[in-house]
Amino acid sequence: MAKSTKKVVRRSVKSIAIKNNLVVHECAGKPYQIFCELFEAEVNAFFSDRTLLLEVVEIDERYYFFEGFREVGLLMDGTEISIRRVNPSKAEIERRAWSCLMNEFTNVDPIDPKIFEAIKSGMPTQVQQALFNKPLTIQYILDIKGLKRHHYDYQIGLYRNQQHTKIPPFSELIAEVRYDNNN
Amino acid sequence: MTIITNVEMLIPDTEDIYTADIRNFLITVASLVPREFMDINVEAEQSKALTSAYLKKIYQSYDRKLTKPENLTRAFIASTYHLPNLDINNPSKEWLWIAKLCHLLIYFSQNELPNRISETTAEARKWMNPTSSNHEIWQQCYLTLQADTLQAMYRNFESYRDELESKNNVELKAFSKIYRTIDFAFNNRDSITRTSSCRKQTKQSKIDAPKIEHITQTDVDGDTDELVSVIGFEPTKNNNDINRERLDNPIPDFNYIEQTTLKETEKFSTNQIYRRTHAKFAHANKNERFVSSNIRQLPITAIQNMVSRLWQWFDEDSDGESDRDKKRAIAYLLLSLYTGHSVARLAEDINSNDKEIIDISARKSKYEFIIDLDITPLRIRTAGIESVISNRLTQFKLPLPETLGIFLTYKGYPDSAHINEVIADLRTTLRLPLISLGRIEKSLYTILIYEVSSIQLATIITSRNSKKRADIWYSSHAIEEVKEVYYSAIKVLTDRCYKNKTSVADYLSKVAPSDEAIGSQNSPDYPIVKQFMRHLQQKVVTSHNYREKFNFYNLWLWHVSLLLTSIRAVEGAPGYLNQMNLEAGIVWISDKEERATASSQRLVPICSFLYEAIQSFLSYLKSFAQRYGRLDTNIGIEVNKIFEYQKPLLNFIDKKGKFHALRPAIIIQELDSHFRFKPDWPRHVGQRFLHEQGVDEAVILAIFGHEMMGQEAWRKSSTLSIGHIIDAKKSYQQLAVELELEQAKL
Repeated sequence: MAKSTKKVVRRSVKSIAIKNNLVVHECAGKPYQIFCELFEAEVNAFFSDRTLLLEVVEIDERYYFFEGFREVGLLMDGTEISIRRVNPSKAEIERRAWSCLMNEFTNVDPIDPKIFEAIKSGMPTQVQQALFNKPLTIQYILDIKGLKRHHYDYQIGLYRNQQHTKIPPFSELIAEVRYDNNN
Repeated sequence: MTIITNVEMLIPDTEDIYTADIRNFLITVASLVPREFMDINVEAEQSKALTSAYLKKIYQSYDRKLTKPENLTRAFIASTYHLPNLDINNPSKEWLWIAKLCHLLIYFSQNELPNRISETTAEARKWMNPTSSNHEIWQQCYLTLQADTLQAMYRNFESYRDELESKNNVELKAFSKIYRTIDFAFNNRDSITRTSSCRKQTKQSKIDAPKIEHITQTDVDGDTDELVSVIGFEPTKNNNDINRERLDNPIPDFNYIEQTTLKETEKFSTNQIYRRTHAKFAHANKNERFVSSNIRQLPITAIQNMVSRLWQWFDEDSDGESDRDKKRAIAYLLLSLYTGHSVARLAEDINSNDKEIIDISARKSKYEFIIDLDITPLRIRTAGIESVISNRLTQFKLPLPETLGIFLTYKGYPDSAHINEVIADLRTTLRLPLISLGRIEKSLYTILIYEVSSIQLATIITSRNSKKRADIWYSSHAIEEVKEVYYSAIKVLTDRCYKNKTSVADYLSKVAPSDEAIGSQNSPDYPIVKQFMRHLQQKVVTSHNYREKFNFYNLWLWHVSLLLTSIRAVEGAPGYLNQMNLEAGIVWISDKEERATASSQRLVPICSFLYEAIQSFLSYLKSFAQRYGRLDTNIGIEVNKIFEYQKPLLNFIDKKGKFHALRPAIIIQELDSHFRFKPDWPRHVGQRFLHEQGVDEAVILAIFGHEMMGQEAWRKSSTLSIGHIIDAKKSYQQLAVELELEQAKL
């Protein structure tokens, strides 16, 4: 799978103290963003004693990660982590990043329709093909979790009720206040 | 056939395909009202009513062209689509009212009154709409005020207008427009024409040529009692002398320069600005020192004796033509004592019938003192805005003693010789060498600030110092409260009067003002603030996109901190993290561009709501940098700058991911369509609330940075302590509770 490159890939494991040198890989940006925006990482925070081992791509003394979103999201600057430098193809990075996100998603109970929709609309078709051999459907998730369709429909109902709000235009705001006053 | 011609004038030929229909419909409607109404006979050859659906279609064809002169009457007729379909045999009251308006329009077109046509059609078109804020007036017109003849209708309108006026009702302004329509027709008035006087004089006057100008000192804030002599003139070189405007430091023998003759180079030279600032300090200090030993203010007992004596003389000198001038001088002195305005200004206002301070009408037997506070015009045009601002009035009237009012209806300027004579008499009879015209004119103000109320209300009532005081721009007072303050002051003023109290003071007890308030037009009322802040908070909580969430969180905290500290809306407000002492609950800020010294900072309190909001914002910032710093390294760097005091606390991320310190322009760009008030609206809300809470005026002035020059809280001689400022925390916390502010919990 991996493209063969002339460059010698150093597979040695190394310890680094992170600062601004640990950045998400460009091919993993979208899934990482979805993870940060929609997953409640802090709530389920865990701190393992073992040092984190990340596979990263190194370019110009910067380390580009594409997996382990939950762990990375909790890292403070200055923390020591272990990295293994690898050099997979872009397609491989993209696949692994989305797969990491899918793993996190299947662990969420109950299923969050908001996250599902974000993944569904954000994931490129070739990645969907590579991961599931077909376009992603909710049935796939339901099968993994051994749930029935109506479980998900119930969640969708809840989600519709808490659609995020918009600030109304000024004229509507005035109307709201006047209506309130008349009551 | 003249009616047809008139209708054609109202609805001229254009490319409009509905012209014939509209003309025909206007005639049909107008024919509903018989000739008896105003001697205009309209007969329809063929009556045909248009359906409201069709009218709506016509109306929409004028979209965006409603106010073009040729469309005015068209739009008015078409906007009747708001009404139910016309039943020609049994027209409703509202249709009859429209028919009468059509008659009036025909009259206006016969008598060539284009302004009446445009005002009547435009207002009627708007008011017909049930969502219009003036729809109630419209209903009032057709339900109770319309009558079968123009004369009866005029009487109804006039009495209703008087009723609104006597209550200081806010609807008066709108109602006057439709009143004018009836008034013009009934009284056969001519169109109002103005002679243009705005043309600039092209001929340049020789500004360095010696000349003597006679000026009456009308400005109550001026300190000169009388201009005594002119000692000398200094010529200038090439009409350009940066030191020409020398103000009163040192006080010159005489110096009067028409401001408009000053050149920009003279006005804004650094030298002049320096001198001007110095002069302002000296002036403000002398004039407004708030100590009771200030000889520029008369003692209360002296004022009371003076008023008592003046009333006595006023009643004595009632006969004899020769005494009339002296009596006028006494009347004007009394009027000045009752209003706090200068005699010269009052005389000018009454005799030229300006009605800026005094409204005297013998016909209506009304003698009123106008309290005017038209400082910040309402520039927002959104429909219904009037119902969500806290101060709907810009002026209101209070009665004056009747005997005084009746005398003043005989016009004529008071003679300064007589005034000086009366003052000299007062000096000798009361043995008060300190009495001077300036001190008499200042008496009401003195009573207000020492005995009754705050300096803010004293300035609102007497307009003294109104140009020097910034806090007036943010003021908000129920007119009931202003009336009570004025009444108390008049009671103190007339305490030693032998006269029957009803005629000199207690006539005010009968006044029952409406529950409106007077003050800043940029101050939103609490309910709309509550609602807006709730939406903003909801937006922060429910946003997902990280930039959107960050931006709205910053916008929310900006508004919360402005509301709860009343600082100005300036770039980077409320400041850097190192300006805040969260534990002590205080933040030092410097939000004013123009101030005498560079160290013009001041302290404002941080209440517990704001403390909590800033704390959670800081922990949000940390986790934000931690997570999204891996997505965009810039985020980590920029957030670090906030914690290292290189960037202000509140920022905005633009579409390219760049951080900008939050500033009013960004607020306007992001929120203008949702909340149109000027970005410093929280200050207006804040000052209103603090005054309502009864916070000491000196503390409010210090928090707002509104102290007069030379009296700032940070000066060495100030007795205001940090504790006073911190103490205001409670009131701000109360504001957070009243506005039902909620923390943005993420």
